[in-house]
Amino acid sequence: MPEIFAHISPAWALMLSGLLCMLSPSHHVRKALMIAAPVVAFLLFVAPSTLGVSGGTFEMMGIEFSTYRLDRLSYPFGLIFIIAAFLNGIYALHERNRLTDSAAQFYAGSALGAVFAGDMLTLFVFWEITAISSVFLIWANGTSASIAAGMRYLAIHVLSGVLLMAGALVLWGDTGSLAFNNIGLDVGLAGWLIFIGIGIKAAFPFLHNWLQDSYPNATVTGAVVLSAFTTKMAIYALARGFAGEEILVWIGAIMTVFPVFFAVVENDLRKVLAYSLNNQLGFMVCAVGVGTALAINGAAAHAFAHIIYKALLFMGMGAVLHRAGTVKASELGGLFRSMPYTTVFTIIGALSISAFPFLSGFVAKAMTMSATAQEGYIIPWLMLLFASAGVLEHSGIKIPYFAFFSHDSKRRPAEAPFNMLVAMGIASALCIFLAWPFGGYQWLYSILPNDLGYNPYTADHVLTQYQLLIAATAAFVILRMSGLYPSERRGTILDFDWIYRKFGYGVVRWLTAMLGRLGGHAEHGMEARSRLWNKRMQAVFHPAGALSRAVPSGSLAIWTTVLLAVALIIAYRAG
Amino acid sequence: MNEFILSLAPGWALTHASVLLVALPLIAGAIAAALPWGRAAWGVVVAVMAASLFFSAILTAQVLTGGAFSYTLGGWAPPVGIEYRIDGLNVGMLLLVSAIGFLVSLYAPEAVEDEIDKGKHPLFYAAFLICFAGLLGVAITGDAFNLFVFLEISSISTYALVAMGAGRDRRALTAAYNYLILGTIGATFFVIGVGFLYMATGTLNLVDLAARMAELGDNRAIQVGFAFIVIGLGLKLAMYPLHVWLPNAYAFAPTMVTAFLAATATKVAFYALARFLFIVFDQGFAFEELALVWLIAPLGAVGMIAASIQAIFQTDVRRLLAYSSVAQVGYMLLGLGIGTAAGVSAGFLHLFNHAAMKGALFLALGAASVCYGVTQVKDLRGLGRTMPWTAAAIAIGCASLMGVPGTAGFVSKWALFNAALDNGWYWAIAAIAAASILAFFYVGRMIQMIYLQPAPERGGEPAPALRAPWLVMIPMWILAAANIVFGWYADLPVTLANAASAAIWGGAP
Amino acid sequence: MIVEFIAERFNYAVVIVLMMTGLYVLFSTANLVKKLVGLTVFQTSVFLLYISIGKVAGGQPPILEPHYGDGHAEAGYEETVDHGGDHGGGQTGTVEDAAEDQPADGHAPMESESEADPVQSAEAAAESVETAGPQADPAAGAAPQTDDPAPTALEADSAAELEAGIAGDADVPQLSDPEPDAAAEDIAGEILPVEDEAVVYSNPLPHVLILTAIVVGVATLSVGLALVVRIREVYGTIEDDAISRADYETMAGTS
Repeated sequence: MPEIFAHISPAWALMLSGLLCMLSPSHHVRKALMIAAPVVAFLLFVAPSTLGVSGGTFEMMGIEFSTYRLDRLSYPFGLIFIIAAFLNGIYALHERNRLTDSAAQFYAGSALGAVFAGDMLTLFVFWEITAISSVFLIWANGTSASIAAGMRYLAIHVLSGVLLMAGALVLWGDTGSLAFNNIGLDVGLAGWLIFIGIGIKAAFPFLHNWLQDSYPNATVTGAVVLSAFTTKMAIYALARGFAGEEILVWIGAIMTVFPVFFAVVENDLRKVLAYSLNNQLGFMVCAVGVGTALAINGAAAHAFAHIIYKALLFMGMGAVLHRAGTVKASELGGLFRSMPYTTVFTIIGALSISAFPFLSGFVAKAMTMSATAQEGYIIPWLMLLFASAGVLEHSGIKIPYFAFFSHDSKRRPAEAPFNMLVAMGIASALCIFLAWPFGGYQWLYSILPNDLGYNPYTADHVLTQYQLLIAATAAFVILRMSGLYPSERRGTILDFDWIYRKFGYGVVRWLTAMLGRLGGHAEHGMEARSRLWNKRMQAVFHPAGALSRAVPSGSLAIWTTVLLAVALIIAYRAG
Repeated sequence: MNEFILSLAPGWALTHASVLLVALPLIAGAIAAALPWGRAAWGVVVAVMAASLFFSAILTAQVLTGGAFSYTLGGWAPPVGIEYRIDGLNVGMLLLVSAIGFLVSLYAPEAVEDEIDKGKHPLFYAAFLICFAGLLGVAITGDAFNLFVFLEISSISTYALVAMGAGRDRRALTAAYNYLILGTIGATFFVIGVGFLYMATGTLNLVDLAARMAELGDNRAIQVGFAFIVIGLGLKLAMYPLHVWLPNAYAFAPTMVTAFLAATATKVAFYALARFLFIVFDQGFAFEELALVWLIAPLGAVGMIAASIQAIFQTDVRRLLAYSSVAQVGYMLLGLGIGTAAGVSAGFLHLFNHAAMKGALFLALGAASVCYGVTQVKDLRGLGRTMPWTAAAIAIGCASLMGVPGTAGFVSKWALFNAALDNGWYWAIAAIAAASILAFFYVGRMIQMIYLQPAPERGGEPAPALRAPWLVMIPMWILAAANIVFGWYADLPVTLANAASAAIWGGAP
Repeated sequence: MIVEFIAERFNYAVVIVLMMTGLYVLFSTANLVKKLVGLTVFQTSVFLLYISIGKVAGGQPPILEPHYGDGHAEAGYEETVDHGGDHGGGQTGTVEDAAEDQPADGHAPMESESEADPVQSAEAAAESVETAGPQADPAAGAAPQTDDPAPTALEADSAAELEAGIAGDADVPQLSDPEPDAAAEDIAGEILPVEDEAVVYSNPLPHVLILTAIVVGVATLSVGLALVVRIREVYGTIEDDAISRADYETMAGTS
C-alpha cells in the first residue's frame, strides 16, 4: 500500500460501506460489502510502515479534529475490531436485512473511529454514533421487549456521551487542550465526568444494567456484533485516559465477582453470556487500574482474546436461537446430536473464556493476575481468582452443558447455516492460535503496547490454573449431583420479561431482580407498584392528562398573571 | 456573496428594500383576497415571497457589509417619525422569515387543496400574506407601538389561519379561540408595558427609548413596564408555562400553516424579547440581571425538560413536535438567560437551526398527511417503506432535533453548552443534557414507528409506496439538507447569530 | 388630603378596577362569548390608561382652535397649503420659523406615529415633505399653540425639537418623578404656565395610539366572535367544559 493511504483512518472504509449498504437494495451487494469493507480497512490499517502516525487531522469551526492516531495502545484494539467486523460479516451472510447490515457496519466503523480518535471531540462524535447505530441492532429484533430495551439502551448511552462531552468541555476550559491523553481523576470535575461517561459504556457496577438488558434482546447477529465493540471501546478509553487509577482495581474486582451469582441462576443463556461479559470486563478494568506495563499489556491482550471468544460464544448461542428458536436453558438440552459442529465450537469458546491453558483466555488472563499480584493487591487478586472459578462455572460449563447436553429436550434442530459455521470455525482457530506456545502467543504479545518478554507457560501458572479448573469442575459436579446447583427449573421464577416492558425500569432492574428472588409476593408487589407508577405518569402526561390536555383558556390565563407577579417582584426587588 | 447580491439589486431596491419588504405582502394580501381563483392567489403569494426573499437578501448583504442603518418612513426623522431599523439582530430574522415563507409557499397548493375548501383558497392566501407581512414588520420596525401593531396583524391573521384547519379536525376552532384569548392577553400586556415606558420617557422609538432610559436610570415605571413586556412577549413566544396555546394550535392548523408558524412565529417574538432585554432596557439596570438569572433562564430550563417529558407521552405526532418546539424555545431562552455574547449568539443559532429542523419535520409530516392521512404517531408505521424520501427527511429532522453530531442541532447545542460552561452554569449543562436524553425518547418513538414497524395493510395488500409531489419534496428537502449542511458548514447561521450578538455588544457583525 | 390623594389617582384606580374585572371574567366564565367580553373590558382599561397619560391639566382636546390665528398671525387653519413665510411676529416667532407651514398638517405626524398602514402614512408623509422639506418638524404643529415651556430649546437646536417630539407639551422625560402614575397630570399642570393667549392641548399622541389599539381590539373581537359562531355550528355549544368533554370523546376514539 502506498503511503498516501497511511493517513486515512480505516474507520472510514467501514462507515462508507455502511452508507452504501443503506442505499443498496440488493442483498448480494450488501453482503459483498460486509466482507470487503473489513478487508479494505485492514489494508488501510497496515499501510503505515511505522506506528505512531497521527494523521487525518482537519479543522472545523476553529477546532482541530484528529481522526487517526495509530500508536501501540490503539494498535491491538484497532486490529481486533477489524477482525471482529470481518467475522461478523461472515456470520451475518445469511441474513437479508438492510437495516442491520448497514447499522452493523456503521457501528463497527464508529467504534474503530473512536479507538483511533486523537482528541476528545472526535472521540465524542464516534462515541455517539456507536450508540445510535447499535440501537438498531436491538430494535431490529422487533419484539416489544427489544424495542423498550433499545430505548433504555439508547438513553443511557446518550447520557454517557453527554457526560463525556461535558467532561471534555470542562477539561478544555481548564487546560485549553482537547487532546485525548492520560487524564486521571486528579483534574477534578472534568476527570470524574469523563470517567463516569466511560464507566457507563464499560458497564461499571450499578451502571451495567443496560448490558444484560439489551444484548439478550438483540437479533441473532446483533448480539454478536454488540458484544465486540462498545465495552472494549470503553476499556481502550480507560486505558488511554485513566491507567493506574487505584479505584479501578476495586471497581474491576467487584465487576468480576458479582455477575457470577447472577449468571449461575440465570436461565436465558444469552443473558448468562451478557453477565459473563460483565465479569470479563472486570478483569480488564482491574488491569487498567493496576496500570503497570504488564497490566496494560494484560488488559489489551485480554480485550483482544475476549472479543474473539465472546463473539464465538454469542455465535454459538445465536446459532441455537436461530435453529431452535429459544436459548432458555430449561427448554434446551441434547442438541449435540443434531448440531455437532456448533457444539464443538461452543466448547472451544467456553474453554477459552475459562482460561484453559493452550486456549486464548489463558495467555491473556495470566498477565492480569500476575500484574495484580506483583503490585500487592491481595484482596483484589483473591476476588479475581474466585471470579475465574466462577467463569468456568457459568460460561465454561453451564453454557455448553445446558444447551447441548443435560437432559434431552427432544429437539433436533438442523446444524447451523454454513456461513455461521465458517465464522465460528475461524474464531475457534484464532482462539487456539493465540495461545499456541510456538509462535502464537508470542505474536499476540508482540502487538501489545509494551515489550516485556513475558512467558505464560511456566509450570506454576499452568498448574495453578489446572488446579483451579479441576476444583471448579468438581464443585459443579458435586453441586449438580446433590441437587444444590440452581437447576434450569428455577427459570420460571427468573423470567422477568414483563418488567422490561415498563417504562423507566432499567435503573431499578437490578434491585427488582434481587427482590424478585425473595419470593413470588415481592414480585407481585413490584408489579403492582410499577402499574401504579405507570398510571400516575400517564395521568399527568397523557394527551388527556393533567398537564397536557387542552385546559380551558381561562385557567391558562392565570399562569400569565402569576408569572407577571413574579416578574414584577423581581423587578421591584432589584429596584 | 454579499457583493454579488448587492450588484444584482437595482438602485430602488437598495434604498427601499426595507419598506417594500413589509408593504408588498400587505398590498398583495388585499389583492389575493380579491382574486376569485385559488391558483391565481397562490401565484401572487409565490411571487411576493420570492421578492421578499430577494429584499431580505439585499438587506442582509447591506448589514453584513455596511453595518446597521435605518429607513425613515416618509422622511420623518426619528424619533418623531417611524423608523425601520435594520441591524445585525433583526436581519437574520428577516432572512429567516422570508426564506421559510418562500419555501412553505411552494409547498402550499398540494396541502391547501387537500385541507381547505376551494372557495376559501384566496382568503387563506390573503391571511397568509398578511401574517407574513406582520412578522416581517415586527422584525423590522424600530418603534415600540408599531411593533405592537405588527404583532397583532400577524397574530390576528394567524388565528384565522389556524381556524381554517377545522375542515380536517374541529378542534382547530377551539385551538384558534384559545390562542386568540391568550395571544390577546399577551399583546395587551405588551402594550401596557410600552405605555409605562412612554410615561417614563415620552418616546416610542426603540433607540430613543434606550438612550433616555439609560439617562433616566431605574424607576418604578420602567420596572413595571419591563415586567409587562417580558411576560407579554413570553406569551407570544411560548415561554413555559405560557405555552399552552401552542400545542393545539400547531396540531390542528393546516399543515403548511404549522410548518410556517413553527419556523417563524415564536422566533420573531423571541427576537423582540431579545431586543427589549438587551438593547432597549439598559443592561446596567439591576432588575435586568436578576430577571435573566431568576426568570428567563430557569423557565427556559424547566421548559426544556417538562415540555420534553410531555412530548414523550403525546399520541398525536404534530402535538408531539409542538411540545418539542416548546422545549426548543427553552433552549433559546436559556441562551438569552446566560446573558453573555456567547449565550445570546447560541440562542439565536439554535433559533435558526430549529427553524430548519421543525420546518423540515412539519413539511414532511404534511406530505405524509396528504398521502396517507397521518396524524397519530402510530400512523407513521412503515413509512420508511411506503414513503422513503419523506421518511428520510423526517429522520434527518429528528436527528438534528436530538443533536446528533454532524447535524445543525448539534452545532447549536454545542454552542449553548460552551456558553453555559463559560458562565460556570453547571446546572444549565445538566439541564441541556437531560433534555437531550428526553429528546431521544420522543424522537425514538417516531423513528421506531417509521423504520421498524411494518406498514399497515390496506384491504389485505400492503400499502403502495408513494412519492410526495415535487412541489412538496423540494422545499422539504431543501430544509432537511440545510440541517446536514449547517451541521458541517455552519457559516451562514453562525454569521447571522454572531451578527445578532454583535448588534448588542458591538464588534464586527 | 385623602380625597385629594384619591382624586389625583382616580383615573388609574378605574383602570386597575377595569383591568382586574376583565381578567377575572376571563378566568372565571366558561362561556366563550363572555370571555370575549372580559377580554374587551381588559383591553378597554388599557385604552383608558393611555388616554390618562396624555391628559394635560387644563388642556383641551388636540383640535385646532378656530381663533388660533387671532393672537398670532393672520393665517387661519383653513389655509392649508400655502403658508410660506407669512407667519407674523408674536412671542413665539422663533418657534414658528421652525414650524413654517405646519398648522394644517398637524394631523400627519399623529397618523404616521400610529401607523396602521405604512404605505398610507408614507404617502401622507411624503406630501408634507414636499411642502415642508425633509427636516419638517411635526412638533411645531402643536408647539406654537400650546406655548411649550421650552421654546428656547427648540430655538437653539433642531435636534432638541425632534426630541421633544409630539410629546413636547407634556414633556415628561425630563422629570424623573418616582411616581410617574400621577406624573403626567401633576407636572403638566405645574410647569405649563398657561399664558393667557396660548391654548393648552392634551398630548395627542396617546389618543392616536389608542385609536389604533381600538382598531386592533375590534379586529380581535370580531375574529373571536366569528370563531365562536363556527364553534357553535360545529359543537352545538359555546360552553368551554362541554367542548372539552366532546373533544375528550374524540380523543378517546382516535387513540
